[in-house]
Amino acid sequence: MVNTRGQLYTIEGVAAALIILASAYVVVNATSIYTPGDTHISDMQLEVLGSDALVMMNTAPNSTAESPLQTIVEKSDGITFGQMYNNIVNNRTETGQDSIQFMANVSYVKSNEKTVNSTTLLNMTRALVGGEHAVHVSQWVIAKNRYPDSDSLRNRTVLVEVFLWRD
Amino acid sequence: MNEDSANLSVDFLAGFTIFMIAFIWVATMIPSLLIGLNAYPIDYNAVAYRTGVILAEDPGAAGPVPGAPCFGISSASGTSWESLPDKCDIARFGLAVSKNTPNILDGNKVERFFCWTVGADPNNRTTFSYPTDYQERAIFGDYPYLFNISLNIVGENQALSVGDVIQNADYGYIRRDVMIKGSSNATIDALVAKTRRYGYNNTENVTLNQFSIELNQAELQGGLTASPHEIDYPAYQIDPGSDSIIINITNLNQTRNQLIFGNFPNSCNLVGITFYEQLSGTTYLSNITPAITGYKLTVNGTYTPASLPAMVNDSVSLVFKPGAFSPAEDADPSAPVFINLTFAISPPQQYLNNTLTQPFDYNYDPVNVTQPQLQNGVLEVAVW
Repeated sequence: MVNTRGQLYTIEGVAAALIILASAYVVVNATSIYTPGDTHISDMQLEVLGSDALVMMNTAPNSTAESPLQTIVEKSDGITFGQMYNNIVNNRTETGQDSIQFMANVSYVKSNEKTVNSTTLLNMTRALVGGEHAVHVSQWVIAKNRYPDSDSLRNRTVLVEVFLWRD
Repeated sequence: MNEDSANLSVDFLAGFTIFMIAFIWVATMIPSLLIGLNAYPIDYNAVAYRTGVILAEDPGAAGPVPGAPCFGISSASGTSWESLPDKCDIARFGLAVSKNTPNILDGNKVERFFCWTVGADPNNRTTFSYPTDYQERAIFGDYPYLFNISLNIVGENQALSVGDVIQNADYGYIRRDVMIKGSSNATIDALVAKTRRYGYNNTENVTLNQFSIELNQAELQGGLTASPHEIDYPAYQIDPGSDSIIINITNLNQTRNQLIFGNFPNSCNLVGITFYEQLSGTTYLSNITPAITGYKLTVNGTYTPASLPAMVNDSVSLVFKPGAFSPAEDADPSAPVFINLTFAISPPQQYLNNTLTQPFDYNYDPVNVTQPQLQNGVLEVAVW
């Protein structure tokens, strides 16, 4: 017996196969899309670097010396901080420097008022105006200091915070 | 009755078979589709980050290398992989001094890590070959990533590097700021040692003068809490088991009594360097066997004698390589080790000699020993 009923099934099969093949081809050839979520990579790189630089500055070069960051905080030496941090964070293994910008603050508790004072500007390469996509890193430092000036000289815990961004 | 409504049509079978073949083919393409995604820079950055963390924050590991074409199975363990000559004993690179000191790299590990050749030589089991040895121990992953790892130590002209030149723009990257731990050294100014500080001088005129240097390993490891200069932070520790130990003795000639013996002695030789240790529970010194050989002796500034005795004019320098006092050569890794130098002088007279006082202590006192210094550096990892 000859009829035409079976032919439709064959055409459907071939058509479905072609459609699947075509769609697979399109998917395979599609470029990977750099989604907004992936921007965390450059943020992460900046954050690791900024945090490393603070850790390094908070490490004494030998067992008898003080860490550079502690000295800087004790003397409120923003100029040394700026030079040193700029150097460390922008240093590369090949010639030529990177161009990471930063702004640093120190925060501490004023013992008489029991308030946190965080306005002391340690240093910055450029003012943070708001349009930058900055990351934030911080490091606790123990330093001999008077907060406020009338306080006695003793070990105080100070938070050094740095905002980093690329132009 | 010939009823065919329940039978499958041959045409349907053919169509369905074609459909299934196509479907299976597409299904098998899915993994390769993901590999395509994997190879994009998003993954390169992740691998670069991982490698950066392994190198900067991990002390590495000695042990068998999983899946590596190495002969035999290693029984090594611990984190002092840099002192193992056979690369088959090194399971993972990691440059940190210890797991508690992230970003502080061990100078000896750095030196060993950046000693490499291109291509694999199955007969060479000491030098690392790029890229396989590094892929197995630092980069990891199924995909054979190529890479460039470089380290610039501030104050040194040349950056250390391993890997290919970065050629294309499409690579993953991470930069880590690190510090590199140097080694300690002691300069014993014999004149100062003799007259002012310790009285390292025998008042009698003798032919054989002995000078002894003590490495109190328990004290150096922070085990003696009563020690006045105790240091238990690994970044500043002196570890005779894995660090190099450098001892320079200068101004030796000044220790003679030059009023009585004005002329330079007829002969003044370093006749012996011997090593002893005081094993726990004993009060006597025992010989270290086999004798420690991993050191370089230099006398009078430049001369390296092949054997003793060696004529000594004014100075003696001993440089112990990393691992010279390693546990393999040292029965008790926390026992005090004594290095004894014997000088034969004729005519008999006073010389550097501490047999009647106490040994020179190689310790954490900055007056005795120049302590390990941390040097700033930058570590860059690029992966493609």
